[in-house]
Amino acid sequence: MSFKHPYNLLNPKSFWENSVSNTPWENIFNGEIGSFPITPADIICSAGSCFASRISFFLKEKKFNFTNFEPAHWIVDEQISNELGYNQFSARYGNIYTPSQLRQLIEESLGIRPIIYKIEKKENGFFKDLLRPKIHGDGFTALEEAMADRVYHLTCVSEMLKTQDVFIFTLGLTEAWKDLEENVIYGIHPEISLRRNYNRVITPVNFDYVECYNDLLVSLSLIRQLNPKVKFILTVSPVALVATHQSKHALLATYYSKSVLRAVAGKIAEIVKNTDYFPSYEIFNAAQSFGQYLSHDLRDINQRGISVAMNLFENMYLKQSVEYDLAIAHQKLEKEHPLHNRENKKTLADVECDEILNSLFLPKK
Amino acid sequence: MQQDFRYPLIIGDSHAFFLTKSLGEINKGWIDEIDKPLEIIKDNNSVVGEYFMLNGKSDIFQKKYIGDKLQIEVTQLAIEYLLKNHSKYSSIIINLDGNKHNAEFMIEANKLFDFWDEKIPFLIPDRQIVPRNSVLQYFRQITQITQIKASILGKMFSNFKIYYILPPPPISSQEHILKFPEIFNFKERKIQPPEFRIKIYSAYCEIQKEISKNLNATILNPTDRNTDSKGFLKEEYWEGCTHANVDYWKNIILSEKHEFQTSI
Repeated sequence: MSFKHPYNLLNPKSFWENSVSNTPWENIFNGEIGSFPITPADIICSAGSCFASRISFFLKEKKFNFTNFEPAHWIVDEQISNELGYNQFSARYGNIYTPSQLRQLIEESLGIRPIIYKIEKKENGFFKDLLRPKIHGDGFTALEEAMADRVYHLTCVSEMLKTQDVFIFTLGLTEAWKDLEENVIYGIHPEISLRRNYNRVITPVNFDYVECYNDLLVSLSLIRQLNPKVKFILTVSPVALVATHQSKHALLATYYSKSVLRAVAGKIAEIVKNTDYFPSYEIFNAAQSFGQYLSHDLRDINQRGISVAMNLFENMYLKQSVEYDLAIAHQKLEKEHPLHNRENKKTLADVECDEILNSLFLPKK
Repeated sequence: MQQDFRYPLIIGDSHAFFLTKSLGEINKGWIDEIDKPLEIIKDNNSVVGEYFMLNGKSDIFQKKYIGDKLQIEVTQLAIEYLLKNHSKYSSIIINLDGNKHNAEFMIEANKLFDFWDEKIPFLIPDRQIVPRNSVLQYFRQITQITQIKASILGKMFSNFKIYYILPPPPISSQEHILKFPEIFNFKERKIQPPEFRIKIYSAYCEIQKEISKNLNATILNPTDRNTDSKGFLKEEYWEGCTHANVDYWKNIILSEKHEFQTSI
């Protein structure tokens, strides 16, 4: 005699055997649909770790309205503008690894906290913005120049927060560095950015679930207060740590980090309206994938995996919209009748994490 | 007219026009068309120089397309005249595209920017900051043809002492500029702030100096007499909104220990 129980009511995909056991990995999330469609007209912005910039490339390729609120000035040559850190994300903030850094940036740009000028002179005479260590090549030629650029940048970020329709944030790390006295978070240790000693006390921090959860919740709340229509997509970067600042095995530190971030992203997606979790982390890192989408160093991800993830993104969010077919038609037309032939020198493969700087200090075996 | 001494040949745009007037009188205005150099006449009716005006209507260069490649060359008329009259000249004074920086950046256009110049350490608030090198690179890009022209002139006059005149410094007064707008339309767009204009001028002078290297020329720089403490053109030398008057150029000529005229 059959009886009713809660599992009777569930979708077949809720059962492992249906959705995982006999499914080719590249099809693992077939049929998944995002909570909301993204239309070609939606202003899409992204921030986060290096994985976020891969999403931005993809969206640009698909001719969706990935919007850059801080493009290089037309007077700056395109090649130079890429070298100066433009065109990677929706503003020139560089990599943002932790929810805490995101919150710091949002609070600065909205005037909730004063502008943080952490600009130091390198030994070569150029000035580095330590909160954006990889922008502007060798650095700014003067302190005043760096400060003015930061002000302009934050104005652009503020405009971005007010205007965007969809914000994609990739959570990368829980580890960071903190100036406890001044309450400033760094993604990269200042001494690595400066290649010299730094005269302030900088403490390694490893944010826990509560801290990450609070910082992300506050960040999204601040954006929503300013811009009630905005939708959020959260992802966890599948790329492992280059190095941990703790005396721990790198693999353990990585899994702690990613587990915390995955839990935070999942919970926030559950409780914050119009917020989705996109499963890039699972695609690359679930054991069932047999690591087929990891690169040779087992830390980074490969192009094949990126294609699978981006296809899923397209299926989940882009194909839902009625305007999708129009966008594809437009894309076809442009391929057949290109408006310009100027090659965008920046490719997916060129995107580099600031975090890779840590590997310069890898002890030789 | 009998020529007792060799005199300079001046080739150039509107700045060269005022320099010419500092030497003597010519019988054409800036907007006239000419097909040969104008004689510069001094009070005693002697010819003290010649001026080939590059005002858009008259030119010694022409563009020619060979397939899809653009070639710049000197006009046949100019070649014939100059070859025939080479022996008249003691030196050549040249100015090419001396107002390009004003044409590009006198007026505030969309997407304002600023850049750091350590000699003029001031940044206008709320503007996007670009590297100074990008400004220099942009000027190099838009003066590519000017560089070619300079090379051509350098080869044509390789046996002569060549002087290259830099554009005069900018006029600081926005009020004066509005009163004497020349070709600019300030009704619809604002004038760039003077701090920006002087940085643009400084950057453009660097590129003008690069152009002069193609000529192997001696630069005729503005002097301290001509500029105020911030490097702007002194008020007594203002002419229109982008030019310096005849007195300015007299100072330039007098300040250099050179010989524009030589005995035959």
